[in-house]
Amino acid sequence: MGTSARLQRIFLPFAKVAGPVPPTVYIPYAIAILPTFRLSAIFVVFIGAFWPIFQNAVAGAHALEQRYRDNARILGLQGFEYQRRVVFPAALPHIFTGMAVGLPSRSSC
Amino acid sequence: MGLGLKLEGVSFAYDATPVLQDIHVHIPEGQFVSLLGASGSGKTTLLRLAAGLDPVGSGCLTWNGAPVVGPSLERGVVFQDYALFPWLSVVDNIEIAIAKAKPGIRKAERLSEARGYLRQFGLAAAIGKYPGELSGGMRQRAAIARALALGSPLLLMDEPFGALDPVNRARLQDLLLAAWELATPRKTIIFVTHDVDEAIYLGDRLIVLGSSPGRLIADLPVPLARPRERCSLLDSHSLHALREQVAATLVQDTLQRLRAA
Repeated sequence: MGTSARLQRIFLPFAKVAGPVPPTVYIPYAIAILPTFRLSAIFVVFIGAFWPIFQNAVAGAHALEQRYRDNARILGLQGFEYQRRVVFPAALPHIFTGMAVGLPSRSSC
Repeated sequence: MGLGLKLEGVSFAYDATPVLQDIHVHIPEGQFVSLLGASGSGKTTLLRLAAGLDPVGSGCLTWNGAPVVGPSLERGVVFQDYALFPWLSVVDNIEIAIAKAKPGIRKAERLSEARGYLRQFGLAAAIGKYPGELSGGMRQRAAIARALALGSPLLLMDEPFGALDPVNRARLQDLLLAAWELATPRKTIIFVTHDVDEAIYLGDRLIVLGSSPGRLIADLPVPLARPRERCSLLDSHSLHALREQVAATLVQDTLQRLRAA
């Protein structure tokens, strides 16, 4: 999503709306919909940690410098290979920042 | 249909600002061309168009008769800012190029070949290191090794030695010339530089761009035999005369621009 303007246009509005919703809001829905309390707890922890990591991953991919994009194009890296060898490693610092923000706060949820 | 790189009436503009205007050049295969010009004369833009990184605004740009419509393994680029991937070790940076150039071979063979390229460029000790652990000169050597590993017949070099100290610069110039002269068939190289001496020392031909917008103001052959000896060239009358001619061309273009302004 960080490398595709089209995907950003489609999904970013949803992410902007869903991201700031506190995970506690989902608790009654999770208990009502999911079969066990354990699964509900896992879901609430997951959803709370997901957004910071997701948003940082998108920001990391988006922040990939033009020179690396050009380099990847010159080397003929495309599609999944481009994502795996260029975008993902470049976004990793941002992903870890998202994990540092998202995981501790969810573990105390 | 001429082989090599052919630009016929190529123009390019960023938004509404013209950067290149009506460029007509034919660079035959195997020629080493130095591209000179003041800052903002569109040298890098011309290289990006030739690489297929930006689309041509108007006119026709062909490589070996085929229009350039996007990047291709036929055209390697060495960027000014050593754009090796910092998250890959130096050997992996080269291996990624070999994997693209020779998709059939196994990873062990690719790594072995990558090590060979690094040894050729005096980087045997840096094989397992990351780009951030290397000096500017070493990084640029690795970048050139990667471009050569890609096996592209056309090599586009954008001020590759611009950020280096004079000693490393001279060493890399000699290394590049040796690699180019040894290769059969010889690669076509377009080498962007601000340094007139470097342009003359390396090139078979000098193409000089004027500014605002970038246009061809001189296309001069370099009348120096190969192989070239740096020390003997220092006393060469031809080198001094050519240097004077290029400097005069650039000054004249600047004065014309100032008068027009």
